[in-house]
Amino acid sequence: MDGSVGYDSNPALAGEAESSWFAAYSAGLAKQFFLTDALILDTVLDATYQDYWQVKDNYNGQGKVILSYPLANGMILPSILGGVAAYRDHFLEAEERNETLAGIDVSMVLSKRLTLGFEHTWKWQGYLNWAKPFSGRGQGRNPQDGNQSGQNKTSEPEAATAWEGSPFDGGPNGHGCGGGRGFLNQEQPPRNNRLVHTGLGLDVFLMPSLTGSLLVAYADLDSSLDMESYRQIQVGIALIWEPFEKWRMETRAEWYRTEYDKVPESMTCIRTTNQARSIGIQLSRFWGPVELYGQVQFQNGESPLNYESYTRQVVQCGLSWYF
Amino acid sequence: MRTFLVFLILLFLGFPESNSVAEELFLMRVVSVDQESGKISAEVIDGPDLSTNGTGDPVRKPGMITVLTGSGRLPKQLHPGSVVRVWGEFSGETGTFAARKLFPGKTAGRKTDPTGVHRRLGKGRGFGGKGGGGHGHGRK
Repeated sequence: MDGSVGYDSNPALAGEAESSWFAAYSAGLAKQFFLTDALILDTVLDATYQDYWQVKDNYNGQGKVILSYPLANGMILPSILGGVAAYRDHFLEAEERNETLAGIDVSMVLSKRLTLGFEHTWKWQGYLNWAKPFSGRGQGRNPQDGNQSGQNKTSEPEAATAWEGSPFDGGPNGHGCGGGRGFLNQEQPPRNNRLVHTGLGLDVFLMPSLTGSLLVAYADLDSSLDMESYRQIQVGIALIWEPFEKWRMETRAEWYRTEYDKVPESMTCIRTTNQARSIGIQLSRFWGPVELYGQVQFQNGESPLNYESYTRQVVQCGLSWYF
Repeated sequence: MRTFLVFLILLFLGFPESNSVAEELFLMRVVSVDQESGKISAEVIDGPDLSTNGTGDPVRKPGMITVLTGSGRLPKQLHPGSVVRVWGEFSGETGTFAARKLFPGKTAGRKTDPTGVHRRLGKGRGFGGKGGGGHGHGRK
């Protein structure tokens, strides 16, 4: 169980940031079953509620099952996994969705210092609300920019004028966004997306007090709204440093490059290649099953819509209890 | 950002492990587990040569050793057949291994965080697993 408070300078990852203090609560439950001497079933349930004080809240819940069968005397551990998840967000209603997950995962002990992990997952994402193109977090649209929810779907006459004065307003001839005039300001049906993710990770056991991880991953999103489909590569590094008994410092840095390769060439107000970076540090102190932690996280990135950019800082401290 | 990374690297280099010289890393396969006392019997898969002859030269790796971790310090999912990494100090006289840290073979992270609830850094980029999200690349 986990409870924390913090400050988020830009929960929407928008160009014009709206900051908020928050409290976050998480609970997780994991249970392992031995179906036979070798066949292992892991079951996981967890839920998180994030209570933003200046903007609206979000929460999610998920359940996952992982079936593993060790090979090569336990040196190779292949798993199949499946799960469901639900995410609700009253601040960015365009983000609300249900997900189904299936995948495979293989963990290989290469030597006493190295473990290689491979994961390939398919995620089917059913969004709940109508939303304008690129209304997701970090895509360049401000949450206040028109209706986010399909419950208040924009009518055609409204859509035709909503863009006036906006960055997509091409003036009397309507060519500010090439052929995209109007379309970007019209709400589109809830998306049905498929996200395929392939990742390779290497854990390195360097010293008693220092463990590192390297990650490379590729993701391919096939969206029911073609222009929102993307291909993404990700590179990450994490270091866990435990210099003293009961103290732990984790540093994580990630870089993403996202290519929206199905955006019509005529839509010149959409940047098709975007990069994002994040770095975070967390310091923890343990007292038996209790962990007190503080963390700082920095993010910046480019958004496809209207060539926006964003920055975000999150400062958070909290208490966890493992049992 | 660059200055910050340099600072971190210096920090890592500036705090050498005080007792790392005596500590060794072993890769082991668990044969039996006693959760109550925190004791494991394990077969050594890979590790440094620890037994020495009269001149102090290593002669062989121990085949089976007893690992002592202290009461209540063993991961609950440990079972016979599990592959683990253990940092600690080996006593040739008693054939026991005083463990300082123990990592299950799968990943470092799953040892203490099977649910993922405690993995906080970088979590803002996706929920329900790895990677980005749906419409875009910056999903919660």
